[in-house]
Amino acid sequence: MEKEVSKTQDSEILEILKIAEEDGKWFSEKYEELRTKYEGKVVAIKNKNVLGDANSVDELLDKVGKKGEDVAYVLIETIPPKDVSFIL
Amino acid sequence: MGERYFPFVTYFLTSPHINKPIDAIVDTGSPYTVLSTNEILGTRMPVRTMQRGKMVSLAGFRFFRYPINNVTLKFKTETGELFTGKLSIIYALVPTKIDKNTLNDVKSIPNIIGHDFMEENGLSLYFNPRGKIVYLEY
Repeated sequence: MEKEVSKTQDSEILEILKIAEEDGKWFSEKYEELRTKYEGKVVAIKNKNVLGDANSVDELLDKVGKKGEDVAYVLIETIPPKDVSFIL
Repeated sequence: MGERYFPFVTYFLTSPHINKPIDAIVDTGSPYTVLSTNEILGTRMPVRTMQRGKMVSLAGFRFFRYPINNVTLKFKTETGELFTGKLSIIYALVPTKIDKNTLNDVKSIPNIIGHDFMEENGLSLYFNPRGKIVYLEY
C-alpha cells in the first residue's frame, strides 16, 4: 500500500517537474523579449504564460493569489535591469 | 537563450518546510546548495522560527544561512523517470540587512545547487554553453 502511494506521489511529481521544466526553458528562450517588457520586475510564469508581474515577490504573490493560482506551482523569476549582471 | 545566465536545472524539493519545484543554477563554485531570498519570500517560509546559522557572502551580499535538514531533491531523467538525491542540509538565505533596497538588490540572485549535493549523490555536471546543453549525470 505504501509502495502504491509512493508511486502515485512520484508520478505527480514527474508531471509537476515536466511543466516546471518547460516553463523554465520557455523563460530562457523568451528572456530577451520578456526583458523588454518586464525589466526590473518579478514575474510569475505558468504553462508558458506570464500570469502577472510586480516590483516585489510579496506584491506578485498577492496578485497571483487573487487569480486563484497555487503559488507553490508557479515559476517565479526576476528579470534584472539590463545594466546589471551577477557573478556568483 | 539571450543573456539569462545558465546552467539552470529544475528539481522537486521535499523538506519539512516546503515541497515544490525549484529552478536552480548549478554552481560548482558553491560549496553549499541554497534557496534564494526570493524563494523564501515566495513560499513564505517561517524563517523566524528556524535556527539561524553562520554568515555567507554571495554576489557581493551577506546572508545568514538557515539550515533545513534532511531534504530530497527529485529530478526528471531523460527517460522520464525520477532520480532522487538526498542532502543532509540545504540552506535558506536571508540577507543580513533586511530593508527594501537590499531585498530589491538580492531579488535576482537565484537558487543554487552546489557541489555538496553533487558530491553526496555522486553526480557530475555536463555543461556545453555553445550547444546550450546542461545536465547532471549520475
